[in-house]
Amino acid sequence: MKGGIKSVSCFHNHSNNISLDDTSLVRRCQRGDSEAMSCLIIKYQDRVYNVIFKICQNHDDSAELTQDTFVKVLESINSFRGKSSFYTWLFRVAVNHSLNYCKRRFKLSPVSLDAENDQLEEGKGKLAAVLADPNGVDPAVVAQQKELSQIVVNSIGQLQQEHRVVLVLRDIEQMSYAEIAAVLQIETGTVKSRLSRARAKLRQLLETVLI
Amino acid sequence: MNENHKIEIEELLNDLVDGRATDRQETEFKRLAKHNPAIVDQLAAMQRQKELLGALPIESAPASLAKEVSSALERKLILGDVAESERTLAGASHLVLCRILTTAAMLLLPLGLLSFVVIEILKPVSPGPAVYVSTDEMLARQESDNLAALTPVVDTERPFDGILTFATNRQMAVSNYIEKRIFDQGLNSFPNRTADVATYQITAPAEKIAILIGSLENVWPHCRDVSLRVIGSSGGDAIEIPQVQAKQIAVLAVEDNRQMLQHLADQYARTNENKKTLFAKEEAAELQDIGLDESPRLAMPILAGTDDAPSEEPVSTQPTIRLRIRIERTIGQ
Repeated sequence: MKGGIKSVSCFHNHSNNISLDDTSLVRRCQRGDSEAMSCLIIKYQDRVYNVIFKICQNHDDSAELTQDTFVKVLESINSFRGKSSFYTWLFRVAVNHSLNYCKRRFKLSPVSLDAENDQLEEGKGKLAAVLADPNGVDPAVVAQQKELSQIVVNSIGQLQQEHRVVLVLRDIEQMSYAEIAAVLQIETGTVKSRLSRARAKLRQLLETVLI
Repeated sequence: MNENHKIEIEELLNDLVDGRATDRQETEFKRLAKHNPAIVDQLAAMQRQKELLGALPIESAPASLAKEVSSALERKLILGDVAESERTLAGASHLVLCRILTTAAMLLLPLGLLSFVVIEILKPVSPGPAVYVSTDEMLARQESDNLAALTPVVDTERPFDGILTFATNRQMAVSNYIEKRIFDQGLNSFPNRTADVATYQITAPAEKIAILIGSLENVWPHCRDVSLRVIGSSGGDAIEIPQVQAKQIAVLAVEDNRQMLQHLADQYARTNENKKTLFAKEEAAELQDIGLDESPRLAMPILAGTDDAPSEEPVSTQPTIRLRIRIERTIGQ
């Protein structure tokens, strides 16, 4: 799941199976290779979209922002000098673009979990059990249930932007502290403290919801 | 447990959850767990929360994303190429234009203000708005214009320059008669007429002026006074000849020597002044009516050549002179 230099299978013309790392793909993109561009897009589109969605919480906006992110990155691919990894650079663009867009276009209104559908009530109970009982249901199984995941996502949406971003990058995108620091261009210590506060706040929110 | 200690424990638990805890931190956790078993549950809850977040389903990007990105890139590439070149040229020219306009504005605005102030200070007092005037007032103005026209104008190349004034109580008849004679001589003169004064200004060769004067001899008897004002060379030493005769004017008109002209004018002035005193009553008694009331009955000029067509006359080589004829209305005979 991690970024950096990794292999990717890029299917082209439904027959050629090309395996390239980010550095090679970026070089080919810099030479104007549209195949390599497509490979980069296919490789990262879901992950970028997922992070943006967790930040913005809106599918339409996320789709537009993801598209804009790739357009921006590929437009300025020649200015990429490889000082950081392409993965970090891509997510920096995505996160900054998302945050700016969210600030400019709309303020994320706090999601009132009280207003959630009654269908979520049953899911809340399951989620509470997961968080309370170490020997209970596997969290991974619970997370796949749509209503439960929706509660968690909504709770993430209630966090402050700076906390939400750090939490999403760490616990959902599984980035290292260093990568998060590079993406957000902040100190690692800041990442650590923000993450600590974000997790504590999320725990509070979930407890409030689930009680 | 104070706030700082809670934060320290929170960060310790986070490091443990993220697998970043050092040996010293793990020892510290074990020590804390002995005294506070709840901390173990807290760590477990944090781990489950992390697993839950990590297990959240990945939202898939729209299937058409790659295609849309490619299309957007191609569109931008096409538009960007055009826009790039246009932007470079248009941007540069626009920038230059803006700078020029800004500079011009910066210069012209203070200059305009300064000019306005200077003009306001230096401009003469305005005559005021135009007003409509009555007929009487208009006539008065024309009178003053006539006087202005009679103001001596010095012309050193023109030996004779005079103002011939007929004072008569039959101003209209005399004026019409003179105008006809002027026309007959082929001389152009646009008269200035008011109720009491008619003025003609004629600039022509001396010979023609002399002939014209000759043709006007019949006017004399109908005038109370005919005087000639000969303008001097400097404009200030005019000689007024009272009771001037047509022949005297003709002599003066053809005189091309300025000094002689002055001398003759001076002599006529003195002579006529004496005559005026001695024979005023006698001349008045001899006046005869020659029929000025009706222009057709007016006797035609006696001097030869007056009926000749102007175009048939030889071109005169004499210098042009100026004669202004003024016919003034007098009251009573």
